[in-house]
Formats: sequence, C-alpha cells, structure tokens
Amino acid sequence: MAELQRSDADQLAYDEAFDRDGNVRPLYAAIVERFSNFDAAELRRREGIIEEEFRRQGITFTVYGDSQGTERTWPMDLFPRLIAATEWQEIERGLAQRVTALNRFLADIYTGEGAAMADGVVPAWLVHSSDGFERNAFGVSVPHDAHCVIAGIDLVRDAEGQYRVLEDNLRNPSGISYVIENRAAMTRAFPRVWEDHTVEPVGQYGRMLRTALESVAPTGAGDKPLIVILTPGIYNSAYFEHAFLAREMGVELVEGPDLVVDEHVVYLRTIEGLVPVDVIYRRIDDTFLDPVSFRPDSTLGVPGLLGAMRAGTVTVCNAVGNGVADDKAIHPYVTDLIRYYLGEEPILPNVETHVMWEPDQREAAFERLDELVIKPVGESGGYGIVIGRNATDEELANARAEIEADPRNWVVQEVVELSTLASMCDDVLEPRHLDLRPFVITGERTQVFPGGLTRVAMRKGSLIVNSSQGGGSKDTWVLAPQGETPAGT
Amino acid sequence: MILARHADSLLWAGRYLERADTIARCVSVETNAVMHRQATEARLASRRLVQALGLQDEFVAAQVGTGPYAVMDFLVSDDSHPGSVVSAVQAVRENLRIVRDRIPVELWEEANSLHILMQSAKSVGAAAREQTGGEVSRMSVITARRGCRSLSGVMTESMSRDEGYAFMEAGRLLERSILTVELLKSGLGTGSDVFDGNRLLAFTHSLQAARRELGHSPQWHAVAKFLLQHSQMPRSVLWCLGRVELRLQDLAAAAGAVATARRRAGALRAHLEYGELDELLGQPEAELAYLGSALAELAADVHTSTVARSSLAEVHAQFVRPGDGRGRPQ
Repeated sequence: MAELQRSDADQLAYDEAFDRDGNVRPLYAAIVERFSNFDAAELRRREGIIEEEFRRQGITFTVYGDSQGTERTWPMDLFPRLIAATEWQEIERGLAQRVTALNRFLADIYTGEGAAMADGVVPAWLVHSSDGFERNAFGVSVPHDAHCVIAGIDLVRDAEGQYRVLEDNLRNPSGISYVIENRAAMTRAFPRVWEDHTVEPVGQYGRMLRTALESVAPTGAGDKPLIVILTPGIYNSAYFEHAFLAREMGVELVEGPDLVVDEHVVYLRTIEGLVPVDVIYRRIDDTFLDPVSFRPDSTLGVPGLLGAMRAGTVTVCNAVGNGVADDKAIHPYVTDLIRYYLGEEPILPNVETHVMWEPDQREAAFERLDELVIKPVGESGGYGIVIGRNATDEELANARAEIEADPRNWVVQEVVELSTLASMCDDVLEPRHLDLRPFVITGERTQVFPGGLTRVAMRKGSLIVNSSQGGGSKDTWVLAPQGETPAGT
Repeated sequence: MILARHADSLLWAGRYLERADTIARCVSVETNAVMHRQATEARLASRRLVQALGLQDEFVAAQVGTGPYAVMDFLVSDDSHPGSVVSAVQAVRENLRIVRDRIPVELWEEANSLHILMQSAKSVGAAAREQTGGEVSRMSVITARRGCRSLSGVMTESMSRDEGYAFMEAGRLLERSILTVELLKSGLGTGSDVFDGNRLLAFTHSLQAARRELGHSPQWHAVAKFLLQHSQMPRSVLWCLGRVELRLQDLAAAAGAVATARRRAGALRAHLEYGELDELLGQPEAELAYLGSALAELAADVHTSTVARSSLAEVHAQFVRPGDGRGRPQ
C-alpha cells in the first residue's frame, strides 16, 4: 500500500486533504481511500502510462536555453485536486467579478475618460509608467469591452484555506491545454476513480473560446468571422497548446509571415490567394506584434497589424496594452477597482501586497524583508522573486538597494503559506505546495471555465510552482453539486 | 482553404514519408542479399544503392566505415545527412508538427511515435550498432516499414480529401516516381554491381505483382516497362502521374497557381501513356534522364504553386471569403 503522508503537525500551510488533527477531510475521503489501495509499484506503473502517452502524443513544452530544442513531456502528478461545488461557486463568482472589473478598467484607460485615475482610485502616474501601458492602444475599442478575452488568474490558499489572488494574467495566459490533457490522461490511467465522484467536464473549452472570439469580431465581419491563432512557431515553449487550441476550435494556426496587411486589412496567404482575417487570437507578446509600431527586429509579427487594428477591420485578442492591468504594481489596487466600477465588495481577497513607492510602506517592509516575498513587477514565470526567509543577508541587502533605486519596479508581498496536497514523490505521496490558475473567458459575457490548472512545486518546501522551474501539475476536479460528498461522512 | 505554408509542409511530409518508406524497403532487400554474398561484392552493391538514392556526396562526407553493415547503417541510422531513414522520418514528423492542428490526431501521433522509436535506435551509436552485426539497424528498418505503412493507412482512412490531402498525396506519388526512375537507372550497364530485374522490382515493392506477368527472371527492359507504364500498379510512374494529375485538377479549380503544374503532369502522363515506350527505351539512359528531370521540374512546379502570391496588386482583384464569396464591405 502506498504511504499517504499528511503535512507535519507543526506546518503552517493548509493541507487540502487532511485537517490539523490528521483526519482525512470529507471531500477527499473517497479518493484517499482509493489511492491507499495502490502500492507504490502500481502507482509508478500508472505514472509510466501517463508519461508514455504524453510522449507519444507529443504533449510537450520546449525547454528554453537548451541548444538541442529539447521537448519535455508535461509533468503531471497522479493525485488529483478536488474542489467542492459550493467552494467553486464562490470562486467562480469572485473571478467573474474580478475580470469584469479589470476589463472595465482597461476600457476606462484606453477608450474611456480615465475615471478611476481622475477619482484617485489608482494613481495616474502609476498607470502611465507601467511597461504594459501601450499608447498604440489608445482609442482602440473592443466589442463588449472584452479587452481581455482570456484571463488566467493565479489563486493560492492561505493557512486558513482562504483562496486569495496572487496574480492576474491578462496578456497571454497559457496552460489550458494541459487542463484538458490532464483529464484525458487521468481517465486512461485511473479509469475507475470516476465511480466515486461526479466531476464537471472540461472538454468544452474549444467551443467556449470560439464563441467568445466570434462575438468580438468587427462589425463588418459577417456571421462567420475568420478566426486565426497567431503563434511564434514550433520552437515556442507553448507551441503544443497553440496547435491544440487551433484543433479544438477548428481555426487556422498561423505565423506572422502567413499574414499580410494592405490598406488596413489583414489577409491570410492561402493557396487560393489572400483571404481577409477578422479575429486574431495572438499568442505573441505586444512588442513582437508589429515591427512597424514596436520592435523593428521582430520577425514574428505582421507589419501594419496595429494600423489594421486601429482602423477596426480586425480584432486582436487579447487586446494590446493589457499588461497595464496585470502589472504587479496595479495588483494591490484591483480590489478597490472592483468596488469602484461594480459597487460590490470583492469576493476574492488579494494576497496582501505592499507598494514600494509609498515611503511608509517601504520603510515598514525594510524592517522585516526577511519575512516577506520581494517581486519585480515586470517579470513572470517565477523569475526574479526573492523569498525573504530563504534569502541570505547579501541577497536581502541587494534587494533593498534595488528597491531604493527604483521603487516603482518592486512590490513586496506577505508570505502566503501555499496550501499543500499529497503528491507522488519517490515512493510516497507527500504534501507539496500548490496554486490554481482558473481561466476566465469574456465575450458577450464573462464565464469561468470549471477548475483550471493546478500547479504543484515538486521540491519539498518549495513555493515556486512554474513548469519552467521544475513544477508539475494536477488534474483538477470541480465536483458537480449532486456528486459532492456530504459533510461529516 | 489552406495556408500556403501548410500546403508546402504537407507536400514535403508526403515526399519524406515516401522517401523513408522506399529507403527502408531497399535496405531491407539489400540486407537479405548481404548475408548471402562475399563482403566485397556486398559492399559494391550497397554503394550502388547509395548512388541510386542520390547520396554519393553524403556518403563520402560521412566517412563510412568498412564493416559489412556500415553502408546499411549509413542509410538507416545516420542523421548527419538528410537521406537516411532516421532523417526522413524526422522530416515527416517536423512537417506534420507544423500542421498538427489540421491533420487527424492519429496521423501526428503515429509520426511522433515512429520518430521516437527511430531516435532511440540512433542513440545506440554507430560503433555499437556495427557490433550487433547490423541487428539494431535491421530492427529499425522493420520499425520504419511498419510505421510508414501505418502512417499511410491513417492518411488514407482518416484524412479529409481536402487540399491538404491533395498536396500530401501529390508529394508521395511524385517522390515515388522520382525514386523509381533513379532505381531503374541502377539496373543499366554490365558491372557486377548492376541490380538485376528482380532486385529492382523488390526495391519498388512490385516483385510479387510482376512475377505473375513477367515470370521469374525478367530482363531490364520488361521491368522498365512494368515500372514506368503499368496502368494498374500503384508503383508505376504512369499510375502515380495519373493520380497526381487528378489531385492537381482538384486544386486548380480554386488555386490558379497550380495550373502550370497540372499541365506539366498531364503532358508527362500522356508521354508515358501514349508514347512509343519500346522505341524510347531503345536509348534507355536518355529516356530515364528525360523522365528524371521532367519529374523534378514537376515537383518544383507543385512546390512553387504553394508559395502564396503576395503581390498586393492582386489583393483587390481576387480576395475571397470562404462561404459567401463576397469581399469585405467597404
């Protein structure tokens, strides 16, 4: 029988499967029992099935910095993460509320009157000094104000089990393909685990996204808009996902040179000639999108694309300039933005964040940097983060000097003891820290995709869950209301 | 509707698939022969095969060893040149990877699985492969042949007969025709390394079918007629060209740029179908040289037809919207 370890009693983190006394939480009772019946060899065998399937199907990501262009299979942990129906309903409402407010904020900045800045909710200088603020997007409206069609909101659970928002990803959040492939892999490797639960399906993403993308097509596009996904190409780390989404939606997967712009209309180069494009779901960053407007050395983009976008003949999703709203420096203001635009109390709280350009907050943070998490606002993928309690005195001194030199570029967050869940490590299931990235789709309305990508730090004690830094993932089950295990059983 | 770049990838995926299949088959035939021959003789014949496959330069550059299985290894597992089975399979996989969103999932998975298997044989290393008496390469050949058949089956049974299929099939059949003509050349002459009729038929997967018509010891001339002009044999150049012409005809309806290639395919098909082949084969070298270059030009034409016309002057005249055929309202 495989040993299923709960968190140490003195650990601060919230263990999702076991309570403080070491008893299995009701939500996890059936799955823990089922896993307890497998010995380590059996779990390894099933892990092998998943690994082999991922390799055969080419479900991989490319490792950057590797001259061989190595494709690594996506690491998936066997033990699933469960979310109860009632719990999910709360998360769902919270996410829809948050993304709605963020889209309102983006519309306010780029096509509105800048009301939130004028009313002092967010300092105008902070918005305009953001690397993500894009002058080229000024005056470019998006149907339904869906600046962010696809959002990935990173959630963590604190020591009390409360979900909190760690980061918003409003530019090019990736990972949805792994959510769907994880479910398929779980089904192949553990065909009987579904007997105990009714789980919300995940196969409908392609349809959901396509409907949203169709709804943001320009008015001249007719009822069958031509949608394409713009990828940097096969060497991009997320190429698998780009191809997956094109297949799931039934749209063309294009690279920059496949598109050409003439008189502010974007065309697709086909063997039959040039065909006008209505919606571009781009998976390349703003700065590579159009060498005329941004980086002239970009070979990934399409010359003249921004002109077409400004002329309103094509919709680019997510919209250009979204980076301003997911700037880590803006994050602390999002709860106020929810109150401001929607007149509602935020359902999901933020991870407590201190802004370094406020002298009081900065000085208070300097007093206890070794207890905090220091983040550069412009990085992603877990890069550049200093976790105070693991840092040397020298690293802390360096961080302090960098903050003093450019306070706008840094935020400091309270440590959240990310929740843990049993994960396969060697031959035992040990608790490992995890987060959750649900995906929120906005077209005519805002919808939350059930579950999301659970990322898990496979190194003991590590809080860094990014796949580029050795993190894995878990299949994430949102239980359907009728399938919920009654409390107390 | 198909992207020009995707059409090109499918064309090349088809060509490389045929190439991997043909080289693996030739090596398989040769390997059986090697075991029954003196080393020097076997090596000479293998060199002739290298020549027939157009890999002389790569062979010299690769400094292939002198062991009895070195040539086979060069043709199967050596990825330092693009002409080996392992390289061709990799090229199939890379081209299909570019279009993996539009081809059947199974087609991609078969190509990916075959690539992984071939890479694992490659990773053994040339010296170790030689030590096994060619065993590793022999297994790779079996794997490659099974894999190619499987790919071919998925392609035939699961792919929509759309433009993508047309390009992939055209690629396969053109490559097959080109290789058939090159292999036929290696049966001309009088040296001890010249392939006999049965060997040529085995290389082109036609031995069984030809035996019923030509008997057990067919002469080169009869084999050449069979492989060039047979109307029902999917390995014959005439049969291949007939299919290529049909595919190009489908494409030309929508893509005007294919018209040139279609005309050339038709002319070449007519040359084989209605030409006096007996007379033409009176000067076999000249006729094969003509066919070789005509097929190469045809392949180049098909490739060119996938290159998108980017002249913006054409935009206003001919852009189309799938479904309603109308342009964007101004």
